[in-house]
Amino acid sequence: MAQHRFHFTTTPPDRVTIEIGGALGDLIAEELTTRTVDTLANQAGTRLVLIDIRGLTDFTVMARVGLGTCQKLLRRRQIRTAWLVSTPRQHGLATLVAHNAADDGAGVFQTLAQAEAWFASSEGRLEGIMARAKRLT
Amino acid sequence: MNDELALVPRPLTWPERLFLRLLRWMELKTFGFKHPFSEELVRSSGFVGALNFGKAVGKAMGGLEKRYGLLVSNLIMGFAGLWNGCRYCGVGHLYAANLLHFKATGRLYPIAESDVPWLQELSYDESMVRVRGMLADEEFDEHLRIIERLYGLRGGAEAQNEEDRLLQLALASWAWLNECSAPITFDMQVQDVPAILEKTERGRILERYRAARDARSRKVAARATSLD
Repeated sequence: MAQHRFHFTTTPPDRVTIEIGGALGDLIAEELTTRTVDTLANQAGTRLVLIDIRGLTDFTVMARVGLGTCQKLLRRRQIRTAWLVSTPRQHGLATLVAHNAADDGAGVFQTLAQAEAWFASSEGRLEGIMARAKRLT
Repeated sequence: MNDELALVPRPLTWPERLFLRLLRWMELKTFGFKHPFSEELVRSSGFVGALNFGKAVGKAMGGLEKRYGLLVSNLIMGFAGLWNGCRYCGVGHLYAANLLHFKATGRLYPIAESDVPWLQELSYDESMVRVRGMLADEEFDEHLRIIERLYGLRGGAEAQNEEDRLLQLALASWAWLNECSAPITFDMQVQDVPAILEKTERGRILERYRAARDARSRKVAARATSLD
């Protein structure tokens, strides 16, 4: 499996961007979790995390578990997460991770503008989906 | 991996269990099989939420069938699921649309249910380019018009009329459904997904369709091998 890429960018006072690209193998979980914990420790006031997986090409089941562990860490710290995706498969992956982590503060988007709007709001992902369907019914 | 932060799914309350039993009875009666995500849908939505979901999806499906008929309704539900990353809904509804098209015309639909996984690997814009190519024959102009509009509305276009509002409701209902179905069915293979069509509609046509589709697949594979 090809090499993966992680890139962490801290934007004070409250934002972190995590870019994840390439192919994620079984062994990425520990590295991703450690770097996430370190980054959050370096900026204790982080409230918003953008996880950009548009460059992600492949992933194993264990890599998914690693992403899930990170999402649960973010949930425990009540950090609002926006997943940025460019393919339906990535959309499904981000939904799986957010849903299985029971993190309603994590949303999945195709554009940065949508992600910014999400950061500016306080509505939950499923809460918003349910409200929208009810409004249109 | 020791996932120490894992959540244990909460048990359903008795009204939720009752609702789920009713849902499964209806699924078995209608389709002849149970959807794999129903319990998760009820758990995530709660009892009142599940009732609201039933109302939303019922209104969307009823409205789509009345306006477009069963084939196009399944195309709409299939593409909504495909774009949300749901393998089960994408394959299952495209499969249903294929069966209905084959039953009506004796010909194969240009987009096979087995095309869903690779379409899901492409970017949204790239997948639309491929869909336009597959539906280029003028026979499918109306299908393509509807898929294009659905795609535009999904991207945030404003609703202009009643048709748009119906498509928006379908998108919202499937966003809800896929929140629970995409995680549960993420690793499903095409051959494990049934055509999401009433068993009476599915029955007799399935074998003839499979024979025709498999023969087409073999022909395409043989042509690809000869070009190597």
